[in-house]
Amino acid sequence: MTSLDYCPYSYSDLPLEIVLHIYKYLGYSDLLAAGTTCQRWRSALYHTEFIARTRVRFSKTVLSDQHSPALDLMRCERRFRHFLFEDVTLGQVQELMTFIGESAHSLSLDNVDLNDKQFYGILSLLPHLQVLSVTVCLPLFMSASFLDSNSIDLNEIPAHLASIRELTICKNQYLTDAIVQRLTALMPNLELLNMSGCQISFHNAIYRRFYPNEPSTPSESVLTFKYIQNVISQQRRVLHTLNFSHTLIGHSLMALIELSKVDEQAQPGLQLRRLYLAGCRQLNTSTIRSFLYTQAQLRVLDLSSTLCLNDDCVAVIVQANPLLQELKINACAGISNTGAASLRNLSRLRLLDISNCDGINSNGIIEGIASTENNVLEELNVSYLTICEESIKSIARNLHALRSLHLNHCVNAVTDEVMQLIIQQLCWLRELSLESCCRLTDAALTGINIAKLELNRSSAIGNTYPPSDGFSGSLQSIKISLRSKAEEEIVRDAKRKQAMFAAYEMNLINDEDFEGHNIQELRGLRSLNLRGCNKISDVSLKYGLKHIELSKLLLSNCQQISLLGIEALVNNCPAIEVLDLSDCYNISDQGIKIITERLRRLRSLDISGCSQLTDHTIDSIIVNCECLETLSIYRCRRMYTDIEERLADVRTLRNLHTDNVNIIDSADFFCVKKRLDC
Amino acid sequence: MADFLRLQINMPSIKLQSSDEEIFDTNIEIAKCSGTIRTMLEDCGMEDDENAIVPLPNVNSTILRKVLTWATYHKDDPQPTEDDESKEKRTDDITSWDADFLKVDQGTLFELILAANYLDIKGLLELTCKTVANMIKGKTPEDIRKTFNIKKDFTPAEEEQVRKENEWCEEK
Repeated sequence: MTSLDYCPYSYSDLPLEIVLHIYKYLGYSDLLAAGTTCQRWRSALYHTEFIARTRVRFSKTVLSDQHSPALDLMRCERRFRHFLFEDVTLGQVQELMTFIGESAHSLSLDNVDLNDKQFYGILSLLPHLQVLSVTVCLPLFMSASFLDSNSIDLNEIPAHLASIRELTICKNQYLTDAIVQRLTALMPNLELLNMSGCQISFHNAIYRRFYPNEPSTPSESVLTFKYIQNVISQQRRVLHTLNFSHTLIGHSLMALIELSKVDEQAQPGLQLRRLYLAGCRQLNTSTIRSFLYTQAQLRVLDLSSTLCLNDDCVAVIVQANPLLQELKINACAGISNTGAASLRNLSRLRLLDISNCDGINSNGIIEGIASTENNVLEELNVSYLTICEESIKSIARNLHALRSLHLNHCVNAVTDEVMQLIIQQLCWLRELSLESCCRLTDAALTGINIAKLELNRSSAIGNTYPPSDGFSGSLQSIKISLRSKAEEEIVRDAKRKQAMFAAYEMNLINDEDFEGHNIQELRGLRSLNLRGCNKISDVSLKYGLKHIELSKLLLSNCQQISLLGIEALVNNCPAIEVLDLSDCYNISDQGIKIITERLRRLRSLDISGCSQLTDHTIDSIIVNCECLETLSIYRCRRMYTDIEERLADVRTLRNLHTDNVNIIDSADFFCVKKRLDC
Repeated sequence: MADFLRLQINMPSIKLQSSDEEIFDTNIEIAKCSGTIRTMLEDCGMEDDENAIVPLPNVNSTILRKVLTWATYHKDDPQPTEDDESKEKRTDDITSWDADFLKVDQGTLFELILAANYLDIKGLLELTCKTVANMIKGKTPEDIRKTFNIKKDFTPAEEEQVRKENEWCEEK
């Protein structure tokens, strides 16, 4: 009796503990799929750390107690902990907030139009809130009476706000000292304060202008760093994360040095674990150096795009912040190979971003971070560096623990040989970015021997298709003589492609043609960026990419990719959620049809500039896509009819990018409106 | 094979009885890879008794034979440590012997999981669960149901609710 005749088992009967054990080995989107099969597997989903990993996101919709999706959420048996509302319009939400208040640990409001009374009302219904983020909520802080004792009875302010540990108020241009004071006074136990992108005044002259007789009550009209400094000072014993990225902070950082000292009562001062100062161009070298000397506990430091950073600073970082685990210093042109070389002394470094540091070249890598065997570093970004093949080889040989590697625009360094070494050595890679590494060919990803193939092909094809008559042959030779060098390159490429293709179509590619390593060996790969690698063809898709966990694939400008490659892709990489095929102009309507039919998890699709695509593509998307959120169709000139209106039928679509900018908003509005009416 | 015989001769053995009453004369060290058997032996003081029979009413002979084959091959594996618990879970590290061992139908795999759980054999439970996880990856819910003989027991309303929930949920 075979198992087909009689099925005594069903995996839905497995004990819960075993289902949970299986779930431990699944990524997020696989968990969602498994949890959609039956009741027991569904309930197992909510026993795992799944709830802790999950955030409920409502985007571009109306939230109101009487309507979906708020109504649907309240029907939910599960209690989620993390919530993000972005670009939503709030209606009457008291019931919704009471519902999520039972379990909400974190709430992010991003570009939400609400006033201070609504805000206060929401907060009072969320007693377990620990993390609050309010980003670009301009109207909220426009009212000068925000949380003012005259407009709100401060005695009614719930004590539970004191349990908030993390406060993010970035990109809010109407913040004032008074608002920050009132807000933070309610939250005396802040560990994190994020004010990146806020318009903070750092100059003393401005402070003196608004506070002529200090000390006085906080200003209702200006946000000054001097006042924020008071807030930091009050909370300095618990505060361990500060984010002032993209502000004009400069010399003012010195003021925090005082706060970091042990005070008279022998209480410890401000000791940061994480500091973010990306894009702070007013910083100067001595300020940064002096401050970092006082912060020996730093784990995470972001000084990207700060113009002042030089080798001396890096030396200070290495010496004074030995516990660093994450360091981002991209686009700091002042750092040379000397600085880069000293980074190897940061023995706990898990993440390093030195992309765009124009002063660093191969020697900095070879003598620095990749000089010795390292089993700690997991993420490395060296994009845009002018480095040679040898430096990437040393990365591949020594940095065994790498999970994420970005080599974008390292045009000369990333060759087929280097790529083969990466595949051979870095078996843990989850994320690999090779944007514009245009020397890469199919040999890099599949280990195929192209030269041999071309040879075989010429004999095989020679027999099948005899050359045409002598006249056209001689015409061709005249043409060739007129070609420029660049054109010759193109012709050579085309010939190589032709050889590969002929072999491919005639099934002439055999196992023995694959002599090297195949990217399949990177079995855990989740994200692959091959934008602008225009020598990559269908051969790589057919013989290379076989990754059941690949969720993000960027193939923009890989113009050789056609239906054959797409057919292989949808079979071999079924978990793709984000796919970029922009400017792959060999993609046809049929290609999009099978993509939308077979890639059931597709959330984002970019087909801009695929000039062959017509209205049939729109039809396929409407009929097949069940969870598409983002669609880009710039420069698709053969799509004519009411695209926006028709795409409103794709219920999940939130972002539509077309050439007609004006229509985008109305399309979004249309989606929302249509959804509400039904 | 020679190694296997030597062990059979030199080491004390015990008798395991499957649910269909077949007796397996087994090397005691191999039997002890099962936490359940280990506890039984220790609790009942059966270790010194050559003729004692350990009844395993939840495991049939086909499955017990498979389990013992696996245990024999893996008898020298190091015990999993605390450190391994916290380590990143990966499923692509299954050895080719194990992969061949698990080229079985879904019913057998199912029973092996239950047996590994009942007998408390960590390594085998991990291996079988990983194999199931690998079979889930990339599949649609409908494909997963087909693969594992799972019946959809949602009402249409529940299914609609599940679909909506999946729409809002994202990884933090």
